Amino acid sequence: MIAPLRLAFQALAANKLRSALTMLGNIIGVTCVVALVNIGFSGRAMIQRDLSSIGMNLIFVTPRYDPDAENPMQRWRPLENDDVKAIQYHCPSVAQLSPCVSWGGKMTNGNRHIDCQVAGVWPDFLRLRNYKVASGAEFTSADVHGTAKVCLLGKTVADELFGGLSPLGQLIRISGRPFVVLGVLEPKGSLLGGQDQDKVVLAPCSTVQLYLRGWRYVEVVFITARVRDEIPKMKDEVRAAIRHSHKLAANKKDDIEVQDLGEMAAMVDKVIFSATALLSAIAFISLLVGGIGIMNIMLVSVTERTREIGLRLAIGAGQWDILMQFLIEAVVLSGCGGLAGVAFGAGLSAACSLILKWPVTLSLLSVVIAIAFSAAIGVFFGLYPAWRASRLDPIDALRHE
Amino acid sequence: MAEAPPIIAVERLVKTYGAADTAVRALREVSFTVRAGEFVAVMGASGSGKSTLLNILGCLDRPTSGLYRLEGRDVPAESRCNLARLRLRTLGFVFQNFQLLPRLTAQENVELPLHYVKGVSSGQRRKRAQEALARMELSDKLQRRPTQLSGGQQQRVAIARALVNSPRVLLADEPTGNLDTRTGLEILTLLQRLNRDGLTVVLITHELDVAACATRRLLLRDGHLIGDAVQTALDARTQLAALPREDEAPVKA
Repeated sequence: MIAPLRLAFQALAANKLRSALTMLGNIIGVTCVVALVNIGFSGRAMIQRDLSSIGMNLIFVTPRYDPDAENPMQRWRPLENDDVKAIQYHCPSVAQLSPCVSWGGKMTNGNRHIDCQVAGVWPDFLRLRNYKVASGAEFTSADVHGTAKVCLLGKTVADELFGGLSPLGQLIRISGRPFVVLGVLEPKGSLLGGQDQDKVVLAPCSTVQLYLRGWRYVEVVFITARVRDEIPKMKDEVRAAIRHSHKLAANKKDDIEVQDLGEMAAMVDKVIFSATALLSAIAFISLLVGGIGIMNIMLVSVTERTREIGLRLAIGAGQWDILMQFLIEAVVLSGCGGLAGVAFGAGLSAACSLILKWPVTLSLLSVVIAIAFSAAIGVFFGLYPAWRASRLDPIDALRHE
Repeated sequence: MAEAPPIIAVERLVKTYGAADTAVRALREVSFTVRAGEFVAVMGASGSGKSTLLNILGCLDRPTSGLYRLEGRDVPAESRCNLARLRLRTLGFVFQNFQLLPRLTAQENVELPLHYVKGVSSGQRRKRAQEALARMELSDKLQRRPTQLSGGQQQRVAIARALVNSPRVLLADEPTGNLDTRTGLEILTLLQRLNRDGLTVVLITHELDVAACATRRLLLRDGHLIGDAVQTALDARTQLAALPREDEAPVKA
């Protein structure tokens, strides 16, 4: 087995540039497949990690958009404070609960400022979203009831407005309104999309509604269950509570969406998986094109080496030997292309992980499949040229100039 | 010599190329036998059918009709696969233009036929190739490529390649055709020595000097065998010694 391989390498080394160019199709194909699959897989792993950093038992309630409603005003019924209270009082499975109303504005401290989102929430929001107070204290239910103008700063905001100084007890202005800083949150890092989870200001929900948004609605209600198993039951309770609070007739559909992060995770995962699969399929086409290139060059090689084939036949090689010789050469071409592709693909994945700061792990399966497919291409497209070589007439072949 | 068994036997051998009315009749009912240990020169002008005869004897081509027995085996009836095995085990080929692979070293060229024999390790291949090259007095040229060798040396590498599988018959197609007189005589000296050691040699040539070194001469004309004579072979070595000094060969034979 070693000798035919060495022979194949010798033959390919005799035309280094040509062999390299022939391999290019396979190299590009395998590079794409390996890079795409691995980057895709890493992306999925990252999303899982992000989701668990947000909180896996989390459910959120949002208004449902109904494009079929006759009256345009009824297509979308926002959630109000009463709806939040309905959930609070009529859903026994709920462990923690917080509405959220946001306001995008300018935070200023003297001549320092930063544009960011203020989330109007309840104290439980910190537990719901895995935020922790690094210094100072969180605001209380009393602050929510009293529409106190207090806030908690994310690390990025605190650094931007106060440099290295402690912001505790200081006054900042949010869109011109003064707020007292009660505390600073522990850093949480960025999400997959690059969104900085620390570029945030938390304030009591009622305060944001009253002084910033100027309305009584909330955009979303976050809820957690005590245990994951109770999530379906809790969803039913929430739907019933809102139906009651919205006084929906029995024949009407729910006018809210109750979404589960686990479900969303599955959905996002599916989207990324299909995108990866689709792109890989396109990359496989480049492998096919590479295979045609290999066939072309092998046909040229058979013509060029007609005399060699004639000689080999004359000194006792069987048709099978000649067939195998050229087939092995084609497979070595495509296999080497595959190996080089794996190297480039792994490099590309590594570069991606450096730039995006993802932990990219090389999936062994993707490497094995890419190399195996590449070699299979060599067999498939090498077969015809090798067969032609083996069918040559030794007398004509020996006379070939 | 007469009591040795026939190694090659052809009877009423016919080879026709092409269709009925434009057919070229390259061989017309040629019959002869060659016994083991003979040195046969097949002579004839170009177009006389001697190349066709060699191709058939070499199991590279099949006769249109007639019998051909090689070591008692009915060659026209054998499968392509068995013909390849016959070429590998029983026959050795030497060509006018050497037919060495330019990418390979002398040793690798000689090893070539052994790749097609099952169960020969790479060590045995190397050893047998070196032995064959040593018999051709080329032990110091193992790693040279054909382009780094003279014509005579290249032909000796080709003979070593033909001998490496210990064939019964050596088929030589104008082995001296591309060589000058002295080198040609050196090659003939080697062939005569191999023949004395028991190898059957069938040589094709159109040169009388070359044919004179054989022990038997077959003459072909227009596809007919018109002459078959046993002769006293001229010793190529004596002729070599008799050559004038001035065209000194670069390598001693």
